[in-house]
Amino acid sequence: DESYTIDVPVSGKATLKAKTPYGAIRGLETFSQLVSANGYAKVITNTPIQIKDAPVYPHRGLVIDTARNFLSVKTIYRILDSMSYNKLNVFHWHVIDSQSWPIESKTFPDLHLKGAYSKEQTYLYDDVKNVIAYAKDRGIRVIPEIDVPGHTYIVSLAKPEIMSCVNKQPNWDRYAAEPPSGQLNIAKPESIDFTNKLIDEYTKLFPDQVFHLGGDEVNRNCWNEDPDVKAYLAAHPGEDVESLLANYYTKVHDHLETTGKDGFSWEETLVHSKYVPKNNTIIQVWIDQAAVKTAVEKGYRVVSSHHDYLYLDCGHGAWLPNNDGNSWCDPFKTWMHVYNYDPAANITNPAQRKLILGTEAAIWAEQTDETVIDIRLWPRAAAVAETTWSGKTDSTGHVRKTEEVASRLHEQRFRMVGRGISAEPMQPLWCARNPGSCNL
Amino acid sequence: DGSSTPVLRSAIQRYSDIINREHFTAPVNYKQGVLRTSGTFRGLKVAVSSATDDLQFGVDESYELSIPVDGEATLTAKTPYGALHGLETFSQLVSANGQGRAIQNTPIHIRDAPAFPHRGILFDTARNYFPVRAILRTLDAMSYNKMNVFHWHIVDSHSWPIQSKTHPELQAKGSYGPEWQYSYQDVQRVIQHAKERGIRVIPEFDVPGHTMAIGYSHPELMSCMNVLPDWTPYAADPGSGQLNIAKNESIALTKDIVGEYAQLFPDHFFHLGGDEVNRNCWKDDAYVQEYLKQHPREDIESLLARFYSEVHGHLQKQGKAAFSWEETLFHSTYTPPKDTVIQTWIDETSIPKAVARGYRSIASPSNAYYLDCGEGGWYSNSDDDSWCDPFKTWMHIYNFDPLANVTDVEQQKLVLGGEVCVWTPQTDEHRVDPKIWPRACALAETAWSGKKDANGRVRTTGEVASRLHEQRFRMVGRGINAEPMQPLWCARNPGACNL
Repeated sequence: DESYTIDVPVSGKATLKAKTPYGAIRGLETFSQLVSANGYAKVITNTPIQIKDAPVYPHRGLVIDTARNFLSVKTIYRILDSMSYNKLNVFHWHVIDSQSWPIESKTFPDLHLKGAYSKEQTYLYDDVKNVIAYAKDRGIRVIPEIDVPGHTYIVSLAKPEIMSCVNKQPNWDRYAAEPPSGQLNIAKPESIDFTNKLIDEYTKLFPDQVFHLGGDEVNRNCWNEDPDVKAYLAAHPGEDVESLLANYYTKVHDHLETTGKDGFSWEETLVHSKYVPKNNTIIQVWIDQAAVKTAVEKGYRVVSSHHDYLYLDCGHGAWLPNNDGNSWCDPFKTWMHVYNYDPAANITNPAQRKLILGTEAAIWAEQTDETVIDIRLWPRAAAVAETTWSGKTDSTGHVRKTEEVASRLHEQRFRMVGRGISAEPMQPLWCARNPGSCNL
Repeated sequence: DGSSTPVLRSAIQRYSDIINREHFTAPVNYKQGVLRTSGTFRGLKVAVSSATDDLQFGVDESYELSIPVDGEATLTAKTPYGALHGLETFSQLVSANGQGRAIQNTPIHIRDAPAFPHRGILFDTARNYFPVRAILRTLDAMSYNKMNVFHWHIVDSHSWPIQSKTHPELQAKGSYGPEWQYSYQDVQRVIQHAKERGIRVIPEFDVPGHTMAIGYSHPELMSCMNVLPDWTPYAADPGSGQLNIAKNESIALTKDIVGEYAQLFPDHFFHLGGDEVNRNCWKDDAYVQEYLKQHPREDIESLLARFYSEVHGHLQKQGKAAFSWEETLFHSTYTPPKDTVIQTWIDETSIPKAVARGYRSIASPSNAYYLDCGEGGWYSNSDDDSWCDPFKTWMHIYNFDPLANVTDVEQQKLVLGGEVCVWTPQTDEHRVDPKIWPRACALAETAWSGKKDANGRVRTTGEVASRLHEQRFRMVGRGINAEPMQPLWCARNPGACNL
């Protein structure tokens, strides 16, 4: 329960009431935003103030990728701080991917010893625990993602024997969404065993009820052309790559269930595989809005990260140096575009709407590291923070328009800068000072 | 050895500090380990023949650098500015080697000189303000890339931050506030910091368009001042306002401004702006309409030409030459003086047209060199792209050829170089480093080394990436927040992340 009430009289003592400490944390953030400078002192204007507040969506998060490029723990703390200034409550930690494995593994130490970019660019258990504690102090849940069976080139540095299509060059694009290619060999039981051991390890390290098992951008050529997979399928004529994949998902999600946790999975597990996710698996949509509808119609809970609105890394052009083109998900998503997104846009059935838990804005880090992470996130993530906390409509049922919102977002942006977050500017300062003067 | 000037002395001190502080390993060498060295470095002898620190257009920037396998290295140059560039090159040859440092691939003999004399950054401090420290840091970053022109777009519609002694009301009413100003002292500090890095500061006072900020202290001199809600007929961006060119007082004020700042800024060149001049602004102005009724032989075009003629003439009286946006040449009836340098921005046909008319020209095409594009539109009620989207990647910038479609050899000589432009409606101090770097490095290399290698082959971005990664990481180590180009894995594995 994140609800709270605030009562600020004209004179005297203000009160903040909440059912849980997390509601109080949200209320304290609101209260801090009511305080302004007044000469050398401070003041709260527009008293008496009575606020009764609670979020529309319970899941308001960010996907942070620390594998394409590393982010230090100090930077993660700052991200968590900035999230708390905007009442965001889920840190979806996309901690490993093809390009690096920064998180310590006690079960397979070679993963981080060989897969991290360097010893300094590693998250040891203590670092992880510190991040989880820092987040909890701000009412932020940490949901880890171990993205399998695709996006796993990096595992080949520790366990080459369980891999397929490792670093195919120059035509990696036949085998992967981006270089370097490499996926777990799903024809080998050792891959399932490897995954399950990682599930055992990391479900213990991360206390959240939800555990993300990835499942995005799984490339079929990778297995169809793997000699070992081909040999297996020749020996087992009733099976094919799809049944192998469904079997892989069944085994690892079943194993996750034994730990008592709920699975979180990219939409392809539901819409691009023969596997049927368990009823309590949360589906993360990123490709298109139709998947939201498909998922809730089938009774699944959904978190949306629709790439056309919430992928904050887009708009930076292609990152392959011999390609003078745009990125796949260009253009840049302005804060207005982010604000205009409605995760429940095409869902009218109230029971189905309740299955939409919320959203996660994503920063994929191919072109992002410490030098630019604040800029990429803010203030645009604040736009989706508002629409998921307060919903799309105001108390009269009117859908808020971006020109009505700009002034408040300017204020939030400048307040965040004052708090040490390098949020980028939205407009010339002249426009921030003269609301309504910079509309089309 | 040879002449020693203040610029040279400060450069030697600065580069000694940089080299002593730096412990750099290129990402591609992350597994290199400690290399065995075959000689000992016994210092760098610097010899400059010129005894003066004069920094103007055309200064000799060449140098020769010799590093033996063992012993003393030498750097010779005609001017301190050539030596500066040689010191930068030398600093980039030094890498970490275990706890020490090493220079690899000796003996090295470099003979270097720039292909283009104008290699710049346009920096807009009017849409959003930039503290002096951000400007100084940008100048540092430019020196790491041998860039040599800081085109300071100081004022524009949204603010007038620079101190004026002839008209103090300009910054009193036109700046964002007392903490968002540049005093004379600030300006002189910028000029000095730039000079020590071989960077000329060319100021721009953009007239007669883009001048709403003047209207805060001189409303009587303005046309179409901040028309709302619909500014679109009158200006390229919200915050409409242009000097009323039918009033002699507008010309007088402009002359005062030109006279004042021509003295404050020592460069021989002075940018008078002249872009995006909106005719409706004057057509719909009551005073202008009345004036033209009284003077039936004149029209808006003749008024504009007269304005330019007076202002450019006054600049000439100060002994300076003008820079001007291409519209003064192509979209007005005015003919700029022959020594005016035309800054082109509209597209890649502008340069060939300008040099065909015999003008020196610099390239800053909006479809390749505008660094601000790609953040979408910035009007609060519009969910659109910006007019010049998409984002210009470093590859796109690198692939542009300022000499494209200029085949005549004499005309090619008129292309002085180029500028990447940092327009700042969506940029301020907090995001300026990654906005500029490492993408500006792509222009810096094109303008210093040209498009072709020693074999006459045009360099491709796939080949260049590795060197740019190295430069990016070196700059980060030197305190410049240059953004990353790719996952670190790609920087370490050259060629593994090509399409």
